[in-house]
Amino acid sequence: MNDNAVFGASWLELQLEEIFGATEVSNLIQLSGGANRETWSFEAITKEKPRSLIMQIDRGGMDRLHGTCERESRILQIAKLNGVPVPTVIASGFAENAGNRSFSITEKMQGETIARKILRDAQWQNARKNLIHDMAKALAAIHKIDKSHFEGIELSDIRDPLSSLESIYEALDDPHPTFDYAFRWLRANQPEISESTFVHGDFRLGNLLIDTSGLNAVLDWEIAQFGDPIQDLGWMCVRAWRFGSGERVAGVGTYDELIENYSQESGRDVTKTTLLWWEIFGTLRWGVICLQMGGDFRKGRTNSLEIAAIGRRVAENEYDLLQSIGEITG
Amino acid sequence: MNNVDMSDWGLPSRINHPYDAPSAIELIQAVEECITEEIVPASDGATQWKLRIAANALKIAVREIEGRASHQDALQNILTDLGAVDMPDLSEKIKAGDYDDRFEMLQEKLLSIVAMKLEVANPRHFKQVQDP
Repeated sequence: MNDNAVFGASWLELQLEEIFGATEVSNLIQLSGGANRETWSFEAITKEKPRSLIMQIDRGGMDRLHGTCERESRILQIAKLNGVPVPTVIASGFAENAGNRSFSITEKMQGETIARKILRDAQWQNARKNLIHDMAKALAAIHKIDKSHFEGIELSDIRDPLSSLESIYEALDDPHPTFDYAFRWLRANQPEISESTFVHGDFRLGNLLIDTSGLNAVLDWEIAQFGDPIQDLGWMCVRAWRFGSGERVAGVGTYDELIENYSQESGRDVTKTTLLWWEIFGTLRWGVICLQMGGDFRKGRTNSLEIAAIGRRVAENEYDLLQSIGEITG
Repeated sequence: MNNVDMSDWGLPSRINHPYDAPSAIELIQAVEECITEEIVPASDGATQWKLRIAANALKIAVREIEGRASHQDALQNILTDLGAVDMPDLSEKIKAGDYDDRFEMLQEKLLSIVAMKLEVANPRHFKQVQDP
């Protein structure tokens, strides 16, 4: 690893010195995953003890992402105080020597995030059994956090999610008839939205740290916002987040199991019809995000191959939308 | 050597062609195979992950070049069936409610369009449930 890199060992040592005193950083390794940010793991030898830490930093060159890591670290601290399992934040700020990209340094927690391993490997068998319960419990805790705790953090409050998503789609100026078809169906079948709570916004395998007994930490809060809490439930049912498994909820469980566990933990009544509406909404949302990422690449806002490739995942979502709506109407 | 029948190789002839072989598709395939079979096993972590994305992108490119001509014709036929001139026009007509009384027919036609895209972008996605 190049020690002179902007986020090399000496830069990290400088950040950690204020907190831990003289610190020696080693083993800096870039981890896979995350289209919007870079994630690095490293070891820090401090006077007290050695620590395994994680550093995240906004991906460069994308104005849309500016400040997301710093903002997320403030959200993590609030979530932690309110009983949501999350990593402890060590430091956060803006890197002046690198276009002021924001960063966060957190404690590294044990576990696996790679969905395909969690869904298939024998060592996560026990975790899989507990996952629906653990996820429902964490979501109930997230949705219970009093909104006043987030004063000073810019969080959008989405009261009309469909119109909000539609305006993002229209702004892309890249017509996709299947998306228009899905918007029309969702509009005609929209359940009443009666509540606005704090929501995670991207709650699914891949963004959850799983240990051998179940959920260990909820990660990736970059699109947390206020809105209808059931959207978090529907989102993890989206086919993309089943990662090839046949189980409808996060690739590990059934709709009924999720509804039962979440109702018990949160005291909310959730119907399957509402859950499925939010799943289809989530599929459309992921489709629009894929379209947006493909556009970012084509318009030269990023040269990331990963983002370019995500542009081609639009078709998967179109297919899933037609299948899901077909199942309900047919 | 004059007796060698090139057609036996199963490859399109490059006689009377401005460029030499290998063809564009063959070159892309060669790069994809080199990445998948030689470079990926010798790498790890983030590099291996990026290489897999790269190899997959090349496979999409090959399928697009192979499928383009027939898909273009098929798309035009579907649009004609729906009375739309192009995809933006179809979008506008859906938004205006032009197919609200034929929603199932619309769905069927859209599925035909999406199936062509998916055949190129990710044919494995058709399988409802993938094996673990």
